[in-house]
Amino acid sequence: MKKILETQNLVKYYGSQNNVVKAVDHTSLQIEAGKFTSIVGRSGSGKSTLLHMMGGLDRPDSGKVLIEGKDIFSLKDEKLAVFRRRKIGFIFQSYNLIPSLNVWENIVLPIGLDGRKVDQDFVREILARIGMEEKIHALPGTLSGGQQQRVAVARALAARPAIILADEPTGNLDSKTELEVISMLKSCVSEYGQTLVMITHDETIAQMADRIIVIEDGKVVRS
Amino acid sequence: MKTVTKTAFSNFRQNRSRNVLCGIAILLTTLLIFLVLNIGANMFTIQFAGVNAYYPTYHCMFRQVSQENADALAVHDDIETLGLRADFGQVTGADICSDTGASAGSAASGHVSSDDADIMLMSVDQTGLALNKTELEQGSFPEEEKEIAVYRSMLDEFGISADIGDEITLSFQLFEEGGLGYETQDTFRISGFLTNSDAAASSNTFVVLTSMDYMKKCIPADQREYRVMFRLTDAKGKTSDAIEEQARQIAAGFGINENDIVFNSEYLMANYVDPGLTAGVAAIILVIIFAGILTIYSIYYVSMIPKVREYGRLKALGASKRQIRQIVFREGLIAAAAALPVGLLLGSVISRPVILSMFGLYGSDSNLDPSAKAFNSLCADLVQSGQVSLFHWWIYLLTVAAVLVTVYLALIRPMRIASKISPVEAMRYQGESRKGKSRKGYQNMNLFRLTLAGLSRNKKRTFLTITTLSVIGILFMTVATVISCADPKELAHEDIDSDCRITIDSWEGDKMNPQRSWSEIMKNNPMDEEFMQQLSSVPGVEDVRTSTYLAGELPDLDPDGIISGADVAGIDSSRARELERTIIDGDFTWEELLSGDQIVAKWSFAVFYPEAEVGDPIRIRFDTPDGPVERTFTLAGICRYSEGFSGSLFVLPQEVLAQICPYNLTDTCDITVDPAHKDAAYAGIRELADSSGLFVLDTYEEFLDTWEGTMSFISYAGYAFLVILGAIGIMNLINTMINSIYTRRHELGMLQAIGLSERQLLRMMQTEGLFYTVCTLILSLGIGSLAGFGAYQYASSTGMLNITVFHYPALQAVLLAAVVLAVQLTLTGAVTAGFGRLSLIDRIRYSE
Repeated sequence: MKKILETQNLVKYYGSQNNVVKAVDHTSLQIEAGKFTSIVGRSGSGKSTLLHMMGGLDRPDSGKVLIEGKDIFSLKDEKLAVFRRRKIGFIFQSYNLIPSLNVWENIVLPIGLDGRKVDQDFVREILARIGMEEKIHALPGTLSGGQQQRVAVARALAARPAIILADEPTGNLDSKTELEVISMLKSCVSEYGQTLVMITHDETIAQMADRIIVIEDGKVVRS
Repeated sequence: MKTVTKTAFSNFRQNRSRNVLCGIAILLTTLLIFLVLNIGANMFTIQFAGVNAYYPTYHCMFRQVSQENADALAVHDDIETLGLRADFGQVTGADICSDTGASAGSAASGHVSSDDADIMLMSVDQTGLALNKTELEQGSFPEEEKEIAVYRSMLDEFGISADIGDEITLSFQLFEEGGLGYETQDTFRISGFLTNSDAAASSNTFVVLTSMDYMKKCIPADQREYRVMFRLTDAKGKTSDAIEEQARQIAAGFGINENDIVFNSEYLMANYVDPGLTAGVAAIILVIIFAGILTIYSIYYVSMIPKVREYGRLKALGASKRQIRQIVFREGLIAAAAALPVGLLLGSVISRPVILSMFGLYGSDSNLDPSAKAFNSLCADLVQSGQVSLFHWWIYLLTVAAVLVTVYLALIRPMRIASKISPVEAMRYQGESRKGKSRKGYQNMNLFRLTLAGLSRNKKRTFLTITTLSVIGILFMTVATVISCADPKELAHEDIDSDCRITIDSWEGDKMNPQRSWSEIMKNNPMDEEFMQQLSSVPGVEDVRTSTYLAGELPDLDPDGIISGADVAGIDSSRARELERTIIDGDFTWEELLSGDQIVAKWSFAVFYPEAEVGDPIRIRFDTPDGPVERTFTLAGICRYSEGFSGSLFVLPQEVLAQICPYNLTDTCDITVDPAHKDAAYAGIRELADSSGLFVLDTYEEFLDTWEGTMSFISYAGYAFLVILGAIGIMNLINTMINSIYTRRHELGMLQAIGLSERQLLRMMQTEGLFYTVCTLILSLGIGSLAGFGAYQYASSTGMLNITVFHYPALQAVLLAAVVLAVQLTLTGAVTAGFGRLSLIDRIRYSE
């Protein structure tokens, strides 16, 4: 087993002394490369906070996050941003496409921000897989929720990050679309050899993963 | 209703940054409107109060009115009060009566004649004295037949020392039909001393005020000629034009000649509405209201985008369209209610020092004549002593009304946007969305392209911010161009194109002073050969250039003589090239002008007679001592020569003018002095200029002083106005910058999550800000320079501020660019720093 991502004794508390919310409480876990891991837990169990820290969006109170053996919080903000855009792709519940950019531009934006040249064939291939090759000039406002989330998935894949972190990516979608998107995401990830970590509270989706981690009150209770 | 107001209040608190900016914009708008109104109105109020305290209070005066007409006018229905004055003789000498204690000073004989002074024997009735504001320094007005009131300075002139109750004997000639009668003498008792003794002494014109009874004893009823001063009944609220018209009608009814009607213009202007007067103030107020509307609207519009979702939620909860409109409007009103009083208070505090400094500035202008200076300091005293209140309730009311109208007009559209949107749309509102469904876009993305896409998303917001800022920038450049074109040195050279100038002060049509008409003066012109030789031999005088002059009329173009008259200057060949350089229409040579049948007109001729064209015949009737002489010329050309070159409407070679009238027509000497011996030369020239009462001496330095004073005042006021206007514009820029970051914090957080680094974020914000700055500067400097050039052309074609040469306001342009750039960079820095304090995760979570 090759671990690509590891958290060590991760702690993140919110609030003051009398009213402390232990969002992540001494959590240690390891994610295997090339696998699909789902994190499940009730609302408020701290799974999103954990995911944000795994992706370097939020800094922990204590503990470490190692990606390919490197402690990401030892990096300064600016370096961390660069590290993040090269190694990690995010998919959020609300699709978060840039409304003023068309489908193509949204997908290639992270590559552009990194100053790299776009591998046009690769992007076209992803577009074909998500069934959006006809819509590359469309603006996000004209797309349905499912279509927008597919574009968000494509955006996360296009920069070829090693890890994709998805925070309830199908939370806003109907169940049919939900399955379509997850299947597509899963097949892409396995095809391109990427690691997928996905938060969900949908049991069916969780069951599609190679491994399920259950979080309660900021602690891993089952993995 | 209560809920609506409550919601408006809580919205007001919640949108603090928007409302603070909006409040500052309203405050500045209030301040500007109040200052313009208050200073504008008070400049008039104070001057009018000054006029009322300084000038006589009659509306009109008729001259040469017979006893019979005076009696009839006294009971005329349209006349409220009427005063009489009769000038009935001229004092030729004074004698003291030794037994009364009066004593002669220097005069050994005890009799002194008044060769130099002009002393009028005059009687004025009680009403006339009141209307004329005649005051006594001491004693009482003459009541008994043989009483008189005089100036102390007149007695000094005669070398007599006398006091109230002393008797003096005056020698005088009475006015009779056809001239002055034989000299007679009479003894009078001094009953009082008149005020303003020094002013009378400096002009060498004195008055001996006798009783009416004495005048009636001397002049038979059928020979009396009165000056009738009167106030019309029910004049309050009338315009000055209406008062003048009514007086003319009364005059016509009594067969009083138009030339014998004298209006008390200063008093009429001060007390009755001049319809044109308010137009300028109204125009400035409109500009401010426009800038205010644009800014407040822009602030609301820009910050409407995030608010619309809230309005949508309120709608979903059951708020009606009307209620939403009310919530938006009331929120604006609350901001106005907070800002208005502060603006009014600030304005009230600032007004007084500003107004006082304005009168101070006028008062210290060394070039003003003493009476104008005295008038200005009288006005300043009126303000300082609190006799004139600077605060008028109607100005406060008008300002409040203007500001509320501004706020209302600015809010109409935001109110409509908020009320019209459906709850579902509101939740997804992103500003006025793009019309198209797709965008061609780029194959590769980079930071710059991302920034451009962001700017193009809110085209209207971007456009509005740039427009508001540019309008102010354009105004700035226009005003700056006018100010920079008005270089005091050049303006002074426009008035005088030598170091100093002696002219003969003549005027036409004054029946009281027929000796001052040019055709009279030229018979015995003091600018003769001897004078010219004396002038040339003054040490330090390098060159003397003369011009000649003839006054005339234009019987064809201006038969009634009301437009311009036809004054013609004669120049010598040394100025031929200079004249030719200023041709704006037509073509001629000096040789052609010498032939005597062609004439050159000044540019203002084309303004007075727009239908006249080069090549047209111009018939001129010249006034000469030998009677009118008519000549018809062909209009050879129109030139833009300066006032300093010649103040006359037409120019001819001196030789041609000499052929028309064989007298000495020299009326102007332009003198160039050696700078090394300037003081000595000026002293010599001044001495020569003082040798005749007909001469007037003007120097370049005096003109320069006046223009420097005027221009420093205009630039001070102009730039102060623009700085406040600029501050209003900056509120708008702040709002746009804050909004462009804070309303997008979620989107920006997302961008950061997918790889935008902090440095890239800052660069993106800077590029956005720079885009506003560059566009604003391009528009301000581009259109502003064009508008400035337009203003210059207008100024030079109408003779405004003497402007003739275009100077690009380069320094002001650089300054504008530097200030806009500095403000924008500081703003971006401050706003991004504030944004940086939010953690990345907070940005991402925002809106979820």
